[in-house]
Amino acid sequence: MTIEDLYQIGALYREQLASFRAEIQICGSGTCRSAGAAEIQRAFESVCEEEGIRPEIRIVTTGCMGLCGQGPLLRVLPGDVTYTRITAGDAERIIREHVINGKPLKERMLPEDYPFFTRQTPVVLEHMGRIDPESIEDYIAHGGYEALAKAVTYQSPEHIILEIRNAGLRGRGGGGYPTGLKWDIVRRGTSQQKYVVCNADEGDPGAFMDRAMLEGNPHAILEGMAVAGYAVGATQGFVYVRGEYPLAVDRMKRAITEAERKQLLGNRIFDSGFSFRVDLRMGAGAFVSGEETALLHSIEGKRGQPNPRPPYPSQVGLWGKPTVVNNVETFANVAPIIHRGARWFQGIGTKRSTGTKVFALAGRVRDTGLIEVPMGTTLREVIFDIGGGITDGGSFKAVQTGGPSGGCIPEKHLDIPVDYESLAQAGSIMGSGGMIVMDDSSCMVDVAAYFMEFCQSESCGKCIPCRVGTVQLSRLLDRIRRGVASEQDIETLEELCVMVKDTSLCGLGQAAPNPVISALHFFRPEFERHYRDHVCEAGVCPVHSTEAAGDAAGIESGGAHV
Amino acid sequence: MEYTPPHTDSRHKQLDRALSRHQGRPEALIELLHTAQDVFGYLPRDVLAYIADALSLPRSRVFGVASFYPLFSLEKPRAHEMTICMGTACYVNGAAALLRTAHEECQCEENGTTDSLRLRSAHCLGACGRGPLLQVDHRTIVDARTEDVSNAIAELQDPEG
Amino acid sequence: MSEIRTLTIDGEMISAPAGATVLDAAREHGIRIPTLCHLDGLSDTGACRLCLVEIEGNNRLQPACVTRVEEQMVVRSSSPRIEKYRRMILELLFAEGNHVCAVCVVNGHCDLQDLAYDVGMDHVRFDYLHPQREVDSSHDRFVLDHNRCILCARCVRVCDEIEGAQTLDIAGRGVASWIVSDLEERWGEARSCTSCGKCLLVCPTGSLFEKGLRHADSSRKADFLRYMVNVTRRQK
Repeated sequence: MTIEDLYQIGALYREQLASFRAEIQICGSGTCRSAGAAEIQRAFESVCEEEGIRPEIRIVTTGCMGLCGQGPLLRVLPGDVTYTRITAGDAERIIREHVINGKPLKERMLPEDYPFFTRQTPVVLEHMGRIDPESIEDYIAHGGYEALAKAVTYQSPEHIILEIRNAGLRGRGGGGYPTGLKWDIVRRGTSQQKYVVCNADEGDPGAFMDRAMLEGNPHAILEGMAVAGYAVGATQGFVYVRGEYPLAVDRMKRAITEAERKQLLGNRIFDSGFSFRVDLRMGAGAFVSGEETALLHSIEGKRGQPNPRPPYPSQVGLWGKPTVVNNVETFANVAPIIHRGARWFQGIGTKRSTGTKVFALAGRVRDTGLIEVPMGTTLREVIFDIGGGITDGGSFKAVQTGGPSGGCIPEKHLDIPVDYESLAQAGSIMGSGGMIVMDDSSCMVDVAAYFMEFCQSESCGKCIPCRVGTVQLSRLLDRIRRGVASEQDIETLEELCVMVKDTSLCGLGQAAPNPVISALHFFRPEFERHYRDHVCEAGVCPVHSTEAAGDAAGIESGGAHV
Repeated sequence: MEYTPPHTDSRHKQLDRALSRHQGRPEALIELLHTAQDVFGYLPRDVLAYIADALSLPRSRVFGVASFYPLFSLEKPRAHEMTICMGTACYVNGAAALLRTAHEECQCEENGTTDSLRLRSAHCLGACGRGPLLQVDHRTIVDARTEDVSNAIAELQDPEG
Repeated sequence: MSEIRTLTIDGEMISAPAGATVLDAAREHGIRIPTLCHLDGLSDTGACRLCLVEIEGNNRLQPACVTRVEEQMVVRSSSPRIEKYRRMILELLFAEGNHVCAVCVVNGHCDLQDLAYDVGMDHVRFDYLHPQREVDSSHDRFVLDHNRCILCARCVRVCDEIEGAQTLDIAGRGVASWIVSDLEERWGEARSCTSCGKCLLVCPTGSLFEKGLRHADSSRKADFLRYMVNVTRRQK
């Protein structure tokens, strides 16, 4: 494979695409599949058969198109018309009226200026939901692997690292560590053997960005990893995919095989001296294995428990060797940066947080789905302009970012820009990109307890503050939830939060108290209403005036006020 | 304790193929546990002993790993499995009520079993845009309501009716 | 001849060989830092968090047992904050298992008990979890009482690193973790166990003990421990 070969594959495929009279793209994301995408595809195929136009029409399942809440989604080309809430029964009209007669179904199509799409800046998601994730040719036809070709043919590893550093790319897993700096540490490592690891163990509840990218454009991740491998001098990569995502595992496995077959992975890539292989490792349901040192243990076939850091994986990583560990979205940003340059990337976002961020917008918001916005966009824009506001005209209460390591941000902070520093200042974190909108039907005490129960059940058990501290925090929160907590309990809760945060071994424990701390900071009166007045205004908690009544009620009853 | 060495049925052949693909390297433990679980539906003790010997790993270590990861099951599976997603988006859209209904109607706790059913809560299935999510065996129901839970349980318990 | 690092611990200028841990350096100079999962001669895991110290310029507390000395490092092994955290760690442990000293075979010779006195943990504010755990007395000579286990994994490490039997490991996760022998068989049926008894010697609580051992005999434990550490050092 040479660069010329690559261009030729792309050109051939584009020619092939152009030969179709029309193209029907069906969203094949997990959500749309659950809502019946496969059946819809069969319906479109059989209508095309009946009409005798099947060979002229390309019917393709793509990755996530983004607007999950209105799925299943379907796009018709030419014209780029998106239809929402498609059923198999719609196939006949869409084929006859739109595809054959050229008259799109006005009443069913999404307006061209629908803000959910027009307010976004797709970089990582540029080709998502448009290309066939099972076709490497389709990826190549959209410029895929050109960045890798350019890198290994014309650029030095030092130059690539400089470019990534100049671009200001920071870890999209949530930590925000400068990617170029991390790569540079690994490159300087003296070991012969080095590794590149893609952390695709997306465990935050309410987050599905990685899943969508793995399922929708797996080659973009592989290309980023290969560039990283070249830059740091690694010959082996691992993608660690969450075991709960079987389709993502299949798509990624398939992508690796295809890339090997096309010699885009393997020995002497683009006839350079650079060789790079990627293996897939499947997680098995442990949230803590998303912590980088735990993840490395899991790849080594061990219990996915973390180690104290330092040393960091960039110095002592997989099998003790220097290892780059980056998140899916971070790798997906690499090819665009190499392609268009650091200066272009810097032009997006803010000074300290460059580029875009992908968010999984969900919860009590009208338009849920996968979005990508420049860093620095305000939360209000995301929730009200892109997301269309609160479901059923309800009123906004809080937005949760950063999952079990993050916090709930109230109305008064909705105008803060989405970037690493601003979110941290507001008592939350950027996190990997889960963004859950809550309205009055959510009780903040209950939400805090929910996250603590999550952390407790996901604690690996290695260090004492996390293993036992989270249990005690859960019990204290449950007492508040049941209306039987004392002022002393609140004091103990706050003290224990700080202690668990300060003394836990890894990020899971260190961040576990965050949702409680932020809820207490912004919604303290709501806590007080529970333990002083025995009232849960959202009607969620089983508040009772006595311990005995609380015990008897257990988790039953909603909103029993005393 | 002594374990029965594996039979030479086709299921073990699949496991053996995976073993030889990984050339008995101990770091392949989790991969092999995945294979074994796919093949047998769970991780029987004699299979764990077999894998431990094949990879020259202590049995305690194999058990430690198998019991660490929630996706691995050390118990025989039930005929049916119902999973209710308790991810944040599902939670704020009422997943707790679904789980309560399931508890009541199955008369079993979260991650508990009846004769024919295992009831699980999942931490996030990654389809947050249409929560709450309900999975019944291999079928996924989006925007699930408590009726969906009741109907599914009734159906599983009385497949004829 | 290894390189020497100069650092300050609790205001005292000390020197230690490069590669030494802060804990080594402190102990060498008579500065006591409490530990629980650490044991000279076994690998360190940094898990119990009792040895956390403040290091200037680092806003996170670091475990002394795995933190290497560095030139010009300024360490504080004790502060009101650290002391409070140490007491809370002990409180959490006492609330987690079923630790009833009065009926414990190592009462008076227990690391956990000693530490509680040392750090001044005089009451527990947290809910006692009262777990329902088993006592495994299937072994001919030894007993494993899971009720008194604090999951420090000293037994796991000594069984792996010193004896090489690898009979014991930690199974499960989080607060539901437990010490397992082989494939979860009762200890007496675990065929890999050599009955060497080293695990008993390193156990900081009364979780592992010898059958028929009267309470008064348990003071022998400390002597065995010292002997074993010396053996380990020689091996190294």
